[in-house]
Amino acid sequence: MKTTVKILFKSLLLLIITAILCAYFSYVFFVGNKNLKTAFQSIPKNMLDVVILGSSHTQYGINPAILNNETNLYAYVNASACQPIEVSYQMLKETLKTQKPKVVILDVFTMLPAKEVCHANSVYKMASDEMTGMEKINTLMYIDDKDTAFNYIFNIRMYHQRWKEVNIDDFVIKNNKSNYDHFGYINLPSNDLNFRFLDIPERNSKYELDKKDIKYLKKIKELCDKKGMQLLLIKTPFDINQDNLNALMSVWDLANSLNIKYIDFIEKSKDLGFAFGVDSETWHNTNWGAYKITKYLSEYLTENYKFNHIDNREININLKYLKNSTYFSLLNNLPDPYAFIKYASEFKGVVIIKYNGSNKTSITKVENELMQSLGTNNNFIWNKNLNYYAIIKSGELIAESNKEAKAVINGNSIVVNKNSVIVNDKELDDISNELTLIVADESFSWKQSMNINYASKWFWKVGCDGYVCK
Amino acid sequence: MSFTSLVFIPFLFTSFLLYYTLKKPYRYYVLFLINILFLLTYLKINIVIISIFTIFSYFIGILIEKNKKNLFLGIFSIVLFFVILKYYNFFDKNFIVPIGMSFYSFKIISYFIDLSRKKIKAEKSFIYFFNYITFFPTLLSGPITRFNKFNESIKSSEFNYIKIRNGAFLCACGIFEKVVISDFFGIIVYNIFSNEKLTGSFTILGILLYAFQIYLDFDSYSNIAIGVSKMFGVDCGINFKTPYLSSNIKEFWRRWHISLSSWFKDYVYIPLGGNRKSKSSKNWNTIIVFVLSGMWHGSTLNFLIWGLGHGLLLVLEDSILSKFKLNKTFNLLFKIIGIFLNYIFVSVLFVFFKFEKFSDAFRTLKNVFIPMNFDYTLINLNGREWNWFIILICFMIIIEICRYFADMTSLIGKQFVVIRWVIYICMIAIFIVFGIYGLQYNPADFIYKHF
Repeated sequence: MKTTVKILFKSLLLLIITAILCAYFSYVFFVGNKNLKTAFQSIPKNMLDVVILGSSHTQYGINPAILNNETNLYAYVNASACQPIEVSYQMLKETLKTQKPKVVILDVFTMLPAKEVCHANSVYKMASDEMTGMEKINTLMYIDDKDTAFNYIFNIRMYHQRWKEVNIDDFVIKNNKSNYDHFGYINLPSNDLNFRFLDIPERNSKYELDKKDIKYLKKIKELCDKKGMQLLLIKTPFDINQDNLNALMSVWDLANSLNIKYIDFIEKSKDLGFAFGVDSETWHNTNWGAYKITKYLSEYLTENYKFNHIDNREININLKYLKNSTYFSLLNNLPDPYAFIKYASEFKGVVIIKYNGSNKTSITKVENELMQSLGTNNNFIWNKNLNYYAIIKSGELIAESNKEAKAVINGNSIVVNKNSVIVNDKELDDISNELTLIVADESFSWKQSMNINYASKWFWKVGCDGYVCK
Repeated sequence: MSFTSLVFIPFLFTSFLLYYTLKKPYRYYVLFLINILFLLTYLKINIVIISIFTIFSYFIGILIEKNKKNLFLGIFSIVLFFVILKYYNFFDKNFIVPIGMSFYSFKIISYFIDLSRKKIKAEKSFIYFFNYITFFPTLLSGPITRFNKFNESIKSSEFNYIKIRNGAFLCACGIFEKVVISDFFGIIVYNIFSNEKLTGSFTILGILLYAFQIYLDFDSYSNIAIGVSKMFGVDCGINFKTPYLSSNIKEFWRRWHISLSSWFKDYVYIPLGGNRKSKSSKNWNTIIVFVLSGMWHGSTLNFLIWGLGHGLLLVLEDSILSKFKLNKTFNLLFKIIGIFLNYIFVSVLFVFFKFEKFSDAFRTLKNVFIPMNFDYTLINLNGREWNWFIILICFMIIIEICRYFADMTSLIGKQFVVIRWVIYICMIAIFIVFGIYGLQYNPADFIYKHF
């Protein structure tokens, strides 16, 4: 008996040592984020108001920086490419380890037949990279090929051959938090200026949803109910065909039967001015599309839910970074002056106005209000023939003049007059003789400009000037 | 279920616990079930064929004990079965040769002959006999245990902690040897021989390394089998004893695949007359044994050349060495030279073992004489891998020299507990990091499983 116990004890000890060594070497050889905490886990505990689950459609479709700008709420897109509903369920459980969101938003793309394009083991792998413990294992065990699942769970089997390339740094455990300044959002700049509304077919038959998807949607709903969270289903706009439309309608039928709220952004796309090409490619929304979706979502959330939001300095700092990169991207290559001024006024960075009014023939009330929304009181309707130069920071007028405006912001000197805009003694290129608007972040790490030549046709947007309309 | 597959460890551990939980004779019934379970992890046809072989030989054994004349019937039937099944895939490529058939056929033949020589008594218990034939550690590729040795050791075995520990350690060493060293060498050998443009120094390295690889591969397998057998109280002896430290072919065959060599000696060479008759008769007997050994490995011309080559070398060596009588100083010098020469001869003959076609083996040998500067990057290695290769070669040479003088398992087993555990932990760490496993690795790829 004594010897048996001895053997068992020694076997157990060897097993533990092997497990520790495996875990350590898994860390050493792992390719990717080696911080002990995932991006999501690095967020201060119980601070998120909204968590968004689902496929890449939500990663591209909802921008937490815009949502915060509009509502002050903290949101995180805890989604992954092609995330199946059962994985969303595990992701929700993972979420609840560190957060208690009031609202859980789930994109239902992977309940539609279009999910066929997603069938790959890497879908589970990618999602599991953002998980820990049993949720990670459960997610990987959904993979049909158990050998592959096993390789993902014990990833030392995949990575140990990297011994020939690792360096000494790989052996040091970095107990760091991961960077979460993207909040799960993926920015997709638009390079397509085609402007057409989505072709949305009419429902013509009932679609039978996958039983597994229904089961896990119910489980998600149950878990949300149990934890006092509100579940909101969404479908972001994409190039939908008849089959997927029928399936989507069946999802909404199911949602109604389960008493789950939903927003069909495909149906609402026309009302939101959401255009295929400019705002979305086949599957994903561009930064401009995400802006429109998130704006609407922000209104919906504030109207339909009550949040006990608590401000957090660390999250605010990270959000500031996302806002910065979001607006840089939104303002980039934008052909629409209306949108440019709207984004500039929301961003509250540095705005330089160079207005040579002599050739201007008319200016509308709307245009005047837009210009004033940047932070100036100048009446462009009354003073349409007067030159006007201004420097504005965070919506506050720093300097204005009819001849030359000057200011120093965060150590950066700015001079603007009839012929030039000079930043840190360097004259900026590509400045219009008529109206130039420049938007920059406070440290001038980036700047975007828009030149408006009001002698040409594309001065203020008329219809869809600047875009290619059909 | 391969010895290096992940399921083998829990299988072994559970079997071991079950085996020792029960007292004799019940543990033999447990062993019977374990053997069946092990067989069931392969194609179901295997258990059918092995059952036919076992049932047939069980009854024939009883008949041979009664009347020696039945020996011919027994051996003839087994050889006939063996030849039909082994070479059937020559006609039907889809036919899979049953696992371990060569090895249990050898066991059965030795059992029959020993019975006819009255060395043993026929086993009356079918369970015991089945356990002998299908004993899972030695089922696939030996070592070929004799019935009396198996029977005595398993019947007298008691729970012995030291033996079990040494067995488990030997098994672990075998897995380590296979996964860390042999398979790494295997990759280099593959990289060399799969690139027809590599000649000269590359081919020489490939030839010398393949000899090392096949040794390590089979030695590792044997160590696992012997280690596991020890854990179950069965003493299989040893199958390899530093064969590349042999200074001549005769010594090499006393140290290489000992269970097979001694089987051929006891059941083919000696019955043929051995060295009891004339010198030429001895030489013919030697050649016959090695040709048979070659043909047992496979039906190709290359295996025949390999066997014949060894037979001729032995004959030649016998006639040369018998003329020299050396003093001690020269003895050592000749021993060292002999070790190198022997290694080269064996390695060259293994070229015929490696390639199925004669033309491939011949081309490889021809490539040795086409000079080419060595550059490890051409065999897809980086600097770190090359250094690791050098370390492994040095490690293997040191270990082989130590094994030449002592039983390493017992030696390590006698060390202070801290030293032993440091060795265990280092082995585990090296295994995890440097082992060849994971994606695209087939743990069942032991070279000798094909025989």
